[in-house]
Formats: sequence, structure tokens, C-alpha cells
Amino acid sequence: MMLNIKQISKEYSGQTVLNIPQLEIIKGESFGLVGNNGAGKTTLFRLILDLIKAKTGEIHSNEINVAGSEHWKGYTGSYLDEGFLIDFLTAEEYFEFVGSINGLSKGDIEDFMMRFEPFFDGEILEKKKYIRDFSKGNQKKIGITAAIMTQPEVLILDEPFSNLDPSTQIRLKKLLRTMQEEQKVTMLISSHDLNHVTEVCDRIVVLDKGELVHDIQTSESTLKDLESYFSVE
Amino acid sequence: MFKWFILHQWKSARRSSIWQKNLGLNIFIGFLMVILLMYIVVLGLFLDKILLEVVNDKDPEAVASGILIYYFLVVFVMRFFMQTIPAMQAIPYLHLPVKRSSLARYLTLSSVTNFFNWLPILIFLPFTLKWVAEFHGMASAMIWFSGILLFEWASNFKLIWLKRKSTGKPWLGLVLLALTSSLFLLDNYEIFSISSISEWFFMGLLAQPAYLILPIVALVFWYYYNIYFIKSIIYVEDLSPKEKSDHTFSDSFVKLKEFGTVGELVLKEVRLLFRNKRSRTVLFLIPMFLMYGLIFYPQEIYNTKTGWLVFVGMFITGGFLMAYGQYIMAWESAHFDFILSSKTSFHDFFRAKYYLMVIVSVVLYFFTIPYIYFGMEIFYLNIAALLYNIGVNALLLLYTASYNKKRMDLSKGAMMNYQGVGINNFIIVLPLLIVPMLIYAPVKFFFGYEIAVITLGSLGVLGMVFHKYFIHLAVKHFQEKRYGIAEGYRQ
Repeated sequence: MMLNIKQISKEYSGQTVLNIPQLEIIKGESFGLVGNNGAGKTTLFRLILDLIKAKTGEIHSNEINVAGSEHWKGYTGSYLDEGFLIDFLTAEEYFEFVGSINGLSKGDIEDFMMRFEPFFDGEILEKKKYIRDFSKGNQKKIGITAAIMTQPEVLILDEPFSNLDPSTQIRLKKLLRTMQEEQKVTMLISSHDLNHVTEVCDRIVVLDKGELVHDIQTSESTLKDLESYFSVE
Repeated sequence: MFKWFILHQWKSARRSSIWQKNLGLNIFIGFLMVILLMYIVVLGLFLDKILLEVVNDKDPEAVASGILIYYFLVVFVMRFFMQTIPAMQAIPYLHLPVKRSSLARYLTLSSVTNFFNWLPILIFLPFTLKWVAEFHGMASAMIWFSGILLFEWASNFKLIWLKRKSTGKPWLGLVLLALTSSLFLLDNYEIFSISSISEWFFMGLLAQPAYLILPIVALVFWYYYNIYFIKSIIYVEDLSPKEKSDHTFSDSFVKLKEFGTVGELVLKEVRLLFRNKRSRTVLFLIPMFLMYGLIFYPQEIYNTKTGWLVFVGMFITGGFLMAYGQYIMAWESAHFDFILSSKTSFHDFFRAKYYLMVIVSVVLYFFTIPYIYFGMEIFYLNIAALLYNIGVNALLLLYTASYNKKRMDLSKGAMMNYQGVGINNFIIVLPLLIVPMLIYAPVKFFFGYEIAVITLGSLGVLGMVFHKYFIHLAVKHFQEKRYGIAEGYRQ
């Protein structure tokens, strides 16, 4: 088992924003998280990355509690928001920085950037521009790429498809599926877009106001089921 | 339309997070302001006496008339560093059906509320009423004073034009400072006297009201030129200029990478300092820290008070360390989640910051060696102060960093910018300067100068030898507090 979430809950000023009694994610699973604003998706990801402190419960990654330990950082790649980018670096400098603290050689990093050239679509490299001056979509490309470049066993992406242009959305989906098939990467992906998430993930979990309300394996009818769940009349 | 602008301006001032969150800091700054204001009021009330005291072979109004040009120049430089121009605020209105000219007029006129525009009332009005009116009549005196006020306002409009035109060029402030100083030196050595021109004009104004035309023309010109200028640049991209990356510059530091992860982290820190507006202002303060000694060393009175010499030494050798170290983690608040979730160990993270403080302090120390001119005592004392700064203060700053939970916005300049500053920041710096004084003074009293210098230096050396252990303590402290810190940085 890759991730084991036990009795986890989180409160903000007295209000419970997340309460999950039990959730297990096995190795190689692609796990999609959907829910409206305020459902607790980002909160759950932040708890898994030990960025916030849980009120109760524990999250174990590879059988070790993530809170206070550092072992999971070596095999977990993540991109939640702009807080993960060092905005005064250029894209190349950022990749070099992330690569080198993860122990990649200069050659590895260059190889990697070359391989991602189609994904970047000529928009990222050799622009002589700081990350803060890129558009939101291009910033997201940089962040996602940096999360993938360390060849993680666990990949956590918050809303990876929003702000991306249509071609990049399609490329990203293809990329994520290849990573699942070839490297058996465990993936946690949240999205507001039901289409994308059902295409990429084998398992979909629906959160509503911090509670886990659905946990389904993706099938032909999943998209329809989800649409009817979210439609408000 | 103006009504709305003023209302929004008022709301943005009232609702600024500074008022809401930082009561302690507000009281502290308010207190400093009151003291400063009292000094100014006293200066204004006794300006006639002071002028009589300083120069006794000339009429005070003539002396004041000569000094005025320097008053304008010095205030202009101060304005350049401290006055902010209301540029960003225009963006939300650009797509609305608001006339450009009315927006431009508002942006220009809103600068009138600046404190410096009204400073002459405090400094020169009492003097005008008390002294000038008595000898030249009330009418002439008031015209004389209006001349000062009008010039100051013209200078205000000239400044906001200059600042708008020179966004992202803080070095221009140093150029202005240099120009003002050289004018003063030329005057001092009687090569070219700008003060006599100033004296001729303002004394002429006392006798002939028509001279008032000059400041009026200057004021009208700079006012309309501003409006014209703003109208010509009023596009979103002009209001928030993008910077080109300084590849060639930071390339000179890439050698740092050869020192592994810690080197890589130091490089990131160097880039942070050079590439953000707020941190760059700190870099521009470095020469001022270094020159601090010139104020105190030449004066006998401070040389006899040994406590002061320690204070000055700590300040000269540790200026950068304190300016940077106060916010040592807050600099990175924008990408703090990345730091927390990435593979770097917090030990490396802290070590990189420590080494940067040490390296820069040692390099800057070499610039303080010329102070040897003021005596060997100062020379040895400054070595001890440097050692104490990098051995004790730097490590202390790493430890206290965990108390600072305020997000810092690096895209704004640092002068008069209290965003991300807490009362903690002021409290933290005091022990850094005062504790070494408290160590040095009694040791010197009982055991003499040599032992006192050696004590101070040895404390620093001890800290450096055991720096890994102290960094370990700082990391442990940080680990306990990190959720709160990350929470604070996220908002």
C-alpha cells in the first residue's frame, strides 16, 4: 500500500473542512479527486504533503507517518499552486535547481528538458524570462514538469488541467497515462473537469464539504453518474 | 468620478492589512513619528535662534534663503527613496468608461497628500511669522513663504514624474545623492556657489513679489507635464513593467553550484536578492551601513564613549547581515510550500543562509579596513565585532527566524514599506546590537580594552566553531513551528 489515510480531520477556526475515517491508495493506482469548491481537495493534498497539521489522524506513506519525516520527499513529486514555483528564477534555472537537489546530474537535467520540448511547445525554454512573468498556463506547465522530472513514485497534482491550452491538456493526459502504464506511478489528481479526470483515473473519489461521499472504480458509466451527481436542479 | 477615486483611496488605506493586523507595530511606528514630529516642530519654532547662533555676521533670513536650495535638494532625494507613486492602483479602472485625463489628473493630484509637501509649514512658517514678518512686513513675509511652498510642490510633481519614468532603477537615487553632495562640496570649497543663487532669488522675492512667477511657472509646468506623461504611458504593461532576466550578471555566481546542494541553495539566495525589488533595496543600503562610521568616528565625543564604538562596529560589520537576516525565511514566503515539500533537508536550507551571511559580511568587512585611519582601537574592535556578528548574531537570527510568520511581498520597494514587518523585527535587532555592548563595557571596565576585544571576538569564534550544533537547534525550533509559519506565509 502506497498511502494510508486514517481518521484524518482538519479544522479551520472551529469548522471541520475535512473528515476522512479511512482511505487507502495502492501502489500504481491513479486516484482522481473531484468535488465543488470547499470540498477539501487541496486540504487533503496539503495534509499528504505535510504542509498543514491535521487535527486528528495520520497519513502513512510507505508505512511511515508523513508528519515530521522526510523520507517521502525523495519519491513524491507534487505541484499544487504557484507556491511551488520560485518565481524569480528562469524556467531553466528552476529545473536545474529542482534536479540538483534531487541528485540528478547536469546531463540528466538537459536530457529531461529535451524530452519535454514538445510538451513545452516552444513556450518555456530559452525565453530569458523569470517564472513570475510567464502566463498562468505556462507557469503550470513549468510546475507540473518539475514535479515529474524527479521520476517520482507518487505524483500529486492539484487541478493540473485548468489554465492549460487544449493541446497541452491532451498532451498531459497522454503523458500521465504513459507514466501509469510504464512506470506504475501512483497518481493523485484533483479536477473540476469530470471529463479529464475520468479519462486519466481508474478510481474516482467524490468529496463534499469535507466528507467522502463516493468511491468508485472508473467504468463506462462513471462520467454519466458523476454528471448526474453534480447536476443541480 | 473624483469622488469615487477618493473614496476608493480612503478605503484602500483604511482596509490595508497593516492597520488591521499590526496594532503593536502601529503603536511603535506612531511613537517614532510623534518623536520625529516633535523634533521638527522644535526646529521650526527656534529656527531664528538657531540661524543667529550659527552665523552671526549675516541676517537669518539671508542665511535661510541660501540654505533653501539644499533643503529642496535633500528633500528631493528623500522623496526619491521614500515616496511611493500610486501607479498600480490605476489598473482596475483602465477598462471602465473613465476618461484617461481624469485618471491622470487624479494620479497626479493624489500625491499632494504627501507629508513632504506640508513640511515647510512646520519648519519655515514659524520662522516667517516670528522673524521675517517683523523686519519685512507681513505681506512680504507671506510671499516669501509662498515661494518656498510653491517650489516644494513643483518639486513634488517633478519627483513623481521622475519616479514613474525610472521604475526599476533604484540606483538613480544614489546618483541624486551624489549630485547633491557634489553641489555642496563645490559650495564648501567656494568653486561654485549654488546657495548664493538661492540667496539672491529669495532675498529678491522679499523685495519684489513678481519673483513669485518663477515657482508658479515651475509648478504649473510640472503639473501639466505629469498629466501629459501619464496619459502617454497609461497601459497595463507600462504600469507594471516586466524585467528582462539578468543572465549575464547572475552567471558570475554559477560557480557556487560546484559546492553541491548547499552551493545551489546559496546561488538561489543570491538570485533572490538581486532579482526582487524589495531585496534589491536592501542591497542599496549596504554602502550606507558601511559609511555609518563616518558619522561617528570623527567626533571625539563618541570615541570616549566605548559603548558607542561597539554599537557602531556591530552596525558597520553587520548591516547586511541584519537587514537580510531579519527576514531570513520570510524572503522565501512566496515559494515556501515548495521548500517544505522538496527534498532539501532543512539543515542544508539553514546552512546555505548562514554561509551567505558569513561570506557577504567578510567581503564587506574589507571595505571597513580604511577606518584604521581613526585608530588601531577601532580597527581591532571592528574585527571583534565582525567575529561576533557572524559567530553569534547570524546564528541567533536563524533561530529567531521561526518567530516571523508574515508573508513578504518582494515586488515592492523596502523604504517605508512595512508590509510583512512585525514588531518582532524591531525587537529582534535590539539585542543584536545591545548585548555585545553589555558584554564589552563591563569587561573593559574591569580588565581593560584588550581583554574586552578578545572576549567579544572569542564568543564569535566559539559560535563559528560550533555553528553546526547551533544550526541544528535552529532547525529543531523551526520543525516545531513550521505549520504556523507556512500558514502565515500562505496568506
